Amino acid sequence: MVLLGGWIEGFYISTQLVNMDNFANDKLVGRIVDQKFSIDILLNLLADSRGNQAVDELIDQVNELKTVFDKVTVETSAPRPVYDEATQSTVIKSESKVNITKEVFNELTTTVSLIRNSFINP
Amino acid sequence: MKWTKIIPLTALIVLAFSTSAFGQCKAFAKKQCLPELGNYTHDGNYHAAVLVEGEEAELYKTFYSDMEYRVAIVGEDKLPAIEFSVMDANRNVLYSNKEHNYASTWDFRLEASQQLKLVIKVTKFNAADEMPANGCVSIMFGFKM
Repeated sequence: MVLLGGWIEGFYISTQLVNMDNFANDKLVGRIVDQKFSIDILLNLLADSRGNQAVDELIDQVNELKTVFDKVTVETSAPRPVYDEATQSTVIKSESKVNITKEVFNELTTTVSLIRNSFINP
Repeated sequence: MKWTKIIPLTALIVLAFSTSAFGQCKAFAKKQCLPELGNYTHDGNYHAAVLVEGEEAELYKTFYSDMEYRVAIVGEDKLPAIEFSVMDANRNVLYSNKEHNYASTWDFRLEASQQLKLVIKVTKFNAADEMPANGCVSIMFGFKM
């Protein structure tokens, strides 16, 4: 529950910082979209405590956010590891194509704001 | 009886919070695993569990593009070598430390953000008549921008 609270707060703050006048080029939008990968991890963590009323309510709220995230499409090509001798590290090469409209982003912003408000104004 | 147990590490961490073993494992992680991150900034999370010879654990984590990462996986000295592999969403192996003399760290970066799966396995001493060894295994992540 603590982890989720921190994640929601960070997500909320991020959505508030996006410059909607420069939406297409705002790098923060990409990072917000990346949170799509974490939603299922959060739900799996909460599922371990299913049956607790407070947790069940959180699961419902996160599922609302997931429903909005499902409208965001991310297509990632198959990753290919390539060793970089210069940096002595591995580069996981792949390309991704993200499709998110301003309307869907606004829906994400509204949903996370409602969830956050339910935490701070129970 | 030969057995392996696959433990979702995220669930294991939740369970470990309720046992005193986690406190000892966290101390081990701070002392032995944290230094392995070198000049990478620790992400603040401690992943540690007590595992037995032959046991496996898995961890899902999201990694972001344009950041450099180091994963450090260290087991107590009383354990045999710790083997770990990193897979993509389709279970394609991107890295296995078995091919690198069971190295305890791996440095990497991703061109596109995605979720990867780490599978950690405690190998075996192959001492059939002895009690299987058990001990702390710590996984820590560091990053650089």
